[in-house]
Amino acid sequence: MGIKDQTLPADLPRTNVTSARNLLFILLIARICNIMIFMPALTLGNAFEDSWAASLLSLAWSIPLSLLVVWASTAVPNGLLVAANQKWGKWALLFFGPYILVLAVIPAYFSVELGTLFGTVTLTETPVGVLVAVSLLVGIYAAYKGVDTIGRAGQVVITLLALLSVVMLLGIGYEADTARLQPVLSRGLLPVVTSSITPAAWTVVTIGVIPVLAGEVTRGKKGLSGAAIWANVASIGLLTVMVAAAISVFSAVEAKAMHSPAYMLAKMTSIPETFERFEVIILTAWIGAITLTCGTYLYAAAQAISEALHLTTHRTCLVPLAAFAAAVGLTLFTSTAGVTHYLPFVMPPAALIVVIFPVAAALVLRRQIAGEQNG
Amino acid sequence: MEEPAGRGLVPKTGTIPAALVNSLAAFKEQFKHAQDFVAREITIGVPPGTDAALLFIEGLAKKMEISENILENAMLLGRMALPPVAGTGEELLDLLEKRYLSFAQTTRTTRFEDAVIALLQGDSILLVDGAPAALRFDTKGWEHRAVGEPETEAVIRGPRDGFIEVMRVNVAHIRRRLRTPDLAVKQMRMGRRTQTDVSILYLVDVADNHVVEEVQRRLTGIDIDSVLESGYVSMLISDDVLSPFPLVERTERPDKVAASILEGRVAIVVDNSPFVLIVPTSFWTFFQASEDYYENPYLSTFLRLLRLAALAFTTFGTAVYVALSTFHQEVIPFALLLRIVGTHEGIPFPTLPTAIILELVIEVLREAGIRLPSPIGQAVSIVGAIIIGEAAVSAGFAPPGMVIIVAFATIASFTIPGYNMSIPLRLLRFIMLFAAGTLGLFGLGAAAMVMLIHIMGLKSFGYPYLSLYDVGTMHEMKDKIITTPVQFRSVTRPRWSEKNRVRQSATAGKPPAPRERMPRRPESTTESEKGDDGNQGPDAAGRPSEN
Repeated sequence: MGIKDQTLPADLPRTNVTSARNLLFILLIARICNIMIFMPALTLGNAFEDSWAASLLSLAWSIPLSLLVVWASTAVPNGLLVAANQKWGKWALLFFGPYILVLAVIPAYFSVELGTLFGTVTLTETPVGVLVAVSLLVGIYAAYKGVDTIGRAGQVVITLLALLSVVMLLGIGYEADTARLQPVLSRGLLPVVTSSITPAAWTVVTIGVIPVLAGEVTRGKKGLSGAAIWANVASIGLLTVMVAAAISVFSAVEAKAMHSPAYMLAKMTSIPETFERFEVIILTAWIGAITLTCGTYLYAAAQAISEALHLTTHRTCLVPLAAFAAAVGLTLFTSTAGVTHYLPFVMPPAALIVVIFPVAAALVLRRQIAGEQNG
Repeated sequence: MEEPAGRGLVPKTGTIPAALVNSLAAFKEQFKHAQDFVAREITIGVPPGTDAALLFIEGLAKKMEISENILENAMLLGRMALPPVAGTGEELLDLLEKRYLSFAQTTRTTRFEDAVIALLQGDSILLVDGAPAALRFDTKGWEHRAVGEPETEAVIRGPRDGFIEVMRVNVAHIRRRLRTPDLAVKQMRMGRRTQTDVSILYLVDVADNHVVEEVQRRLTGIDIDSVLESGYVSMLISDDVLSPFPLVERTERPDKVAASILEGRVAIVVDNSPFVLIVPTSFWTFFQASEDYYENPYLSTFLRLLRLAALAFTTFGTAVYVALSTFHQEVIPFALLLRIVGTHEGIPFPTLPTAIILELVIEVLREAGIRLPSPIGQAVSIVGAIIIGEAAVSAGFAPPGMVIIVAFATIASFTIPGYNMSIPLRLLRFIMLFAAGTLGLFGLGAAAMVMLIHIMGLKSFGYPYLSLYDVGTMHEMKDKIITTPVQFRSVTRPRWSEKNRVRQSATAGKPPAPRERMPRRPESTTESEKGDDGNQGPDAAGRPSEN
């Protein structure tokens, strides 16, 4: 009765090609989320009153940074999957393992941000546990549907966020007061330069260098896509303008407290009121983006691990669940112990440590692949 | 002949007996319950002649053609001596086929089951005594609906012809638009009892071979006793039958099918259905009307954006109202909030149940309007909506703001060209309502995210159902959310196929250089010279009708 077998042949074209291409966008999402959360907050925080210059420097650092990350974006999942599919994949994953753990901390950090968002976006009478559970279920569902799905969903979410950001920017633009920038510039640029290097370097190390090296192994410079570069440059430019607008509207003191201009602008501004009222909608979309990002990272890790351990029939479900549970546990731990505030100081050395191993792994893998291709 | 074990659905199998008495008896036995089965026994040649019998099903075969082209010619032979060669029944069959019976489409069959199925399809079967075979005449001809304008996809500009319930006519509609021998028409039959004809159409030098093979594989895998409409096939070949979203496109418009085939997609025509299926498909195709390609692209772009806005409103409109008015009053401007609060005062029901009831009422009205005859249906819809809405507000059962929102959300759903896309949205509205009514905007966002992820996970014959801007398919943006003039959008084919992707010559559609704008008219222009101009003919443009 009915069709006998509806599964597609494995070699049906374009599916895999599309999936591979979508991976670029998947980590593009991650990059945007990451930078939009960390970069402005840390930059502004370190620059203290020098926010305007910090914003400019943020742009200056972000462009080469984004290029690196876009390049890396094409390589992380590919590198993991390629490595995992090889006979030496298990050994390679020993080197990639620490990196995956680092990635697991990022969603944990996101979760902390997520927790702060819940207080403003949700209903006060609803238990936070219910809201977290709903978010987790959405994330698990996304992870279950796979990396391809998350990638394309991210396209829509990010597009909507970008559109909302543009609308907000236009809304507050006419309220900007450049006079507020003068005290910032009067103190010189050097302190700002030094303070802004830290977050940029941190981001480069954590999500830039390692994947780029992995990308050398798998795809090389072909990973640099023109369209994605422009998308990044545009987003970074938008972000910087938004930060500058925030400073000019609210002054640096208030802007320093912002974690993400995209929603804090809408939250803090009182002019025009219309945009403020959409705060909850933006935050809801923001939560969605974060959820997808977490799911992406976890799925990529789970995929690599399950492939390497030849658990392909058990992929996607158990490992992301376990990883998510670990991430939530880590979040609770860091929140409770107050470690969160020290994460920016802890992460760079940790990331530097794990760089050594992937570099060695990348070199070995590259040599092995070259050897296999030659003979 | 052997009797097949089991189903007994289609006929006994085996060769046709040579002796007429046996073959006729076999057919009569097969159709013993069918009183519309006609077996006309005749004698061919001078007495004593050769016995023969013409079989057909009354109502399915054209009697006029049978009388004039078969019976008359065959019986005329009774007045003349047949050539000496016509000694055996088989030789007589040869003579009839090649010399005496002037019928356009005649084939010979030796299998009993093939002859039975041919009869059931409207063909006529001529049996001749002594011949272990039969002549099959294509006498199909039954009453059917005339070609008319598609009711579900009406356009202001564009062809008015639509598909009908006869597969052959529908295939001819498509063939008339794609006059190329590269248009493949593969036929098969499905449905153990219905023996429904199905045709697969595609361009051999454009369509993706893997997709064509996959379509054939899925269709041949269907084992069901009846296929009464293309909806059966649509569900049976769908990638995810549990999804509410349509993964197989359907249309009544031949121009839309032709454009889809030109894009490298595959059309499936099912007999007895005016809806032709198209695979693979994508989310965006349901928001693209045929008219978009015939009208000014700016207007078409505006209309597409309008449809997407309508999609958002019809899915989320009522839910957002419920969430805002229930949980997030601070989002609403103060003056508007006062107004809303005032209208909600005295309403005996909470907001969520009120919204659900109103949505249900609208659905009932919509369903009643469809089922009733057109004039009455429209009256019921309009009068029902106005009277019930007005009465509900007057009686204090529903706030007027909500009635407006629900009514507009319903109207917005009609802007979606693909009717089968509006069906899942109607269902999703209730889910969104429930999510918004319980967890506010957060719940609505979570439900929307689940919906988004679900859609993003869908595939139609291996192709992502919804993608916004995949790398490598950016050129599709010229004809996705927006549309552009044909000079730009039809340069390459969409992602459906990797073969023959270039659709226009390099100079096609580009404005001529200034000195070429007023070409000197040649003294004489032959037809062949006209044909050499690659930019003028519809074929050169590559897309006579777009979708």
